[in-house]
Amino acid sequence: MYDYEDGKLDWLAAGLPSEGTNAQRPRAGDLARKDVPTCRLDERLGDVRDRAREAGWEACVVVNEDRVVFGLLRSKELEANPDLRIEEAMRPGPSTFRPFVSIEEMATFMIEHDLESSPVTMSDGRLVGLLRKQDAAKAALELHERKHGSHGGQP
Amino acid sequence: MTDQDVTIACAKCGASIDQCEFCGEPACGAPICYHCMTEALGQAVAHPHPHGG
Repeated sequence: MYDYEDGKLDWLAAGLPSEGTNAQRPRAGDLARKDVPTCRLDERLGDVRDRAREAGWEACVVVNEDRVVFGLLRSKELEANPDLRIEEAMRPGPSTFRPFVSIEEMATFMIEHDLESSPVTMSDGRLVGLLRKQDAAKAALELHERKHGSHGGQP
Repeated sequence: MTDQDVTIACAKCGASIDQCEFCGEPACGAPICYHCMTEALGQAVAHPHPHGG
């Protein structure tokens, strides 16, 4: 028997396997985009913006060498003066979310708060990926339809 | 009075906060504090509010 001292929430946050009915439901970590561009504090905003847009993104996560999240650049921040350093342009210390959080809860919150993206991290702050509102909303809707049947279908 | 002086109330427990913990916006229409947010998202086990909410 192995005693995982950090507890159940940390186990789930680390993306370790789980069992039971709830284990089948999509979670923030499943849908967080792992290919989100990242940058460092000392980079120039204009360079980072070009790199992110070339990859088809309007967001970039600011991390250190261990991929611990320091900040976030959403479309608004990316529009700032290109000569700023990332440290000056970023939104520092954004709220981060654990991979095990229910996609339905995240979608509800993201729609209610009109938040385009949210960083998903391990409990030690390391980046898992960026959850986009449209991905969360789509998955939550599919889940809802699977559970209750699509609207307008046969009774 | 500056922007930093403005406080808003958590929509769930009424605690005074500077900005919504979920979206980071001081002008959020449904502001939520850190404790209520982590509990709502299942990131923390429910326990008594430290600020009495």
